[in-house]
Amino acid sequence: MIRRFRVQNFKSLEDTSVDLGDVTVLVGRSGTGKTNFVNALGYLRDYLSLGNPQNPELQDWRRLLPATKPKCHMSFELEFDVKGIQEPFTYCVTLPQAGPGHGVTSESLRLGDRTFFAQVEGKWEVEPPLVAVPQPRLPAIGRIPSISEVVIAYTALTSGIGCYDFPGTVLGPVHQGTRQGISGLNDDAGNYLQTLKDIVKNLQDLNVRKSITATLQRLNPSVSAVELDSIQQPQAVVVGHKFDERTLELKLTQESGGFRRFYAHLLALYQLPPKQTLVFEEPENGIYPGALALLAEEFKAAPSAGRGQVILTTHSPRLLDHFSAEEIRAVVLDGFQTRIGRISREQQEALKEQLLEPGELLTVDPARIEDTESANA
Amino acid sequence: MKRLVLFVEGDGDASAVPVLVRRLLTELNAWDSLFLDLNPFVVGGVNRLFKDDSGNWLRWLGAAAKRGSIGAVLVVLDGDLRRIRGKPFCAANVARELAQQSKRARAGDLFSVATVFACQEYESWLIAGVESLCGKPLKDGRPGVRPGTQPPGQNLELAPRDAKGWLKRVMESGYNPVRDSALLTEIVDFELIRNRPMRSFRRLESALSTIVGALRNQSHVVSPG
Repeated sequence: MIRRFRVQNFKSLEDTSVDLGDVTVLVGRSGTGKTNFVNALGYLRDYLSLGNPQNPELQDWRRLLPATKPKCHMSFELEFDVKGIQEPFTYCVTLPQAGPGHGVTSESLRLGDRTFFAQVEGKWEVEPPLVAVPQPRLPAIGRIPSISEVVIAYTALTSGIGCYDFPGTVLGPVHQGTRQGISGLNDDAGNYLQTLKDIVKNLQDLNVRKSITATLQRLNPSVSAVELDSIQQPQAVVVGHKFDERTLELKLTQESGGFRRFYAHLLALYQLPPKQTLVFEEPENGIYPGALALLAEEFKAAPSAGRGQVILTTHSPRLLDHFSAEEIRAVVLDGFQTRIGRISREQQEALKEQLLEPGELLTVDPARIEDTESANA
Repeated sequence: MKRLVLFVEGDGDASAVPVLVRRLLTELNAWDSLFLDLNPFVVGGVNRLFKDDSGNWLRWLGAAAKRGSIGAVLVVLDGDLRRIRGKPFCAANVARELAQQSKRARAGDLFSVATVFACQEYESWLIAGVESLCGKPLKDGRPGVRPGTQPPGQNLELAPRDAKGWLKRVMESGYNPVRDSALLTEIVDFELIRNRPMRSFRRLESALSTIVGALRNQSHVVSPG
């Protein structure tokens, strides 16, 4: 689980450090930088695992740098922990102003007080304890397979992260999944058949598929089953609807956009193996407002069930109503820079005393950051 | 120095009312006694304040009081309702009722509260000063109100009913409250509004004077009393 994520010089994030919890909900006006924060995490993951971002919008290096600083380094620092390891990892990497194709300017990985490696400007400051030390300059974290802690850290930062921004066509007849290369459910859910197959074939925990179906039944009481048409070579997901004693089979692609979008979120949350960190961009889009309480319950249950920490962005007061002051982070634009932090102390107190409802931080009293109280006229 | 918190109706008002109040407070030389909180509560109309036995009104007053150094809450809402809670809408009566209810949140004891209804909408005040807006470009360079535009009738308190729609018709680039109301408020001439029979604007000025007076005397009021 990522405890803290610091980003320097990624779009509007000139220097932004955010403490993250089991569940973190980012709120703020449009254009303040919520998506930039989420994209920064996805960018780092793709850079470490694939060498390039999957998202076409993130492939032009010059457009990733702050508009006010067209030539600068870009840095990421993450503090994260992994179940079964007592101390937190800290991973830092700085990309040169020439772009990610020119290696890294600096990189280090620590576990508690122990530094596994540190490189600066193409030289090892702390050499990895190996007989055959890899050449510096390229990111080392994915090139040290013989030290298990390094492999664990690399896995947590690559295949352990899912960044989901499902399109309205998700799981539908014209939905074309394009993204490949990272295990688990792809960011656009294009490989959802394989994800469901992994769930269905998992005999260790049969409750996963039951939980998904039970949640969908609360969304639509007629749903009796959601299964693959074939275990060997699945071509479609079939949704059973029970009316009296008869069952109607519909392909998932025939279901409504809202149902499919809801289901895509469940697949992300229940995929096997689970992600360490799940990021969802505006999950409320296209979903019946009355079902947002159900979706919020699923988000909140995931961390304690070992299905990953959850990071959300939202513009929905109805969804936000289900989260606490501690879980909400305000995103504001200060000049050209994004700032993200806990909501102001008086808003935290107002929420605790139920003088404000969380959703009112998007409507009545827009969320402010803790240390930027109301400015004087 | 005490904080003045604004309660406004919508997002357009959230940008315009602080500009209006700031200009009026400057005329009152009030900055020795208060500062203006630039984050208004956007309450969405008086009906929402009365919801759940005025529960929202009391909750949000409580939330406003959580902001440090609270001195006063000024409520500026549209008065274009026909009926409220089954009765014909009367701005004075409703303002008085809100004032009374606010005492349950210790208004008058810990901080002042004043309620003002624009008649009909916030834009009615802009229309009352429309000659001062004519032909002037907006701060962002866009053309504003067409030259030669005159206010629609004698009784600007009651007409036009659709003030936003009227402004939309006379502005060269149309009117969007969120985008334009603050820009128009920056340049409208208050003397023109004062020279017209705009009781609601006079009520706003009087409410602000009352608040400033109370803060200077280190006392608290609810207005209308």
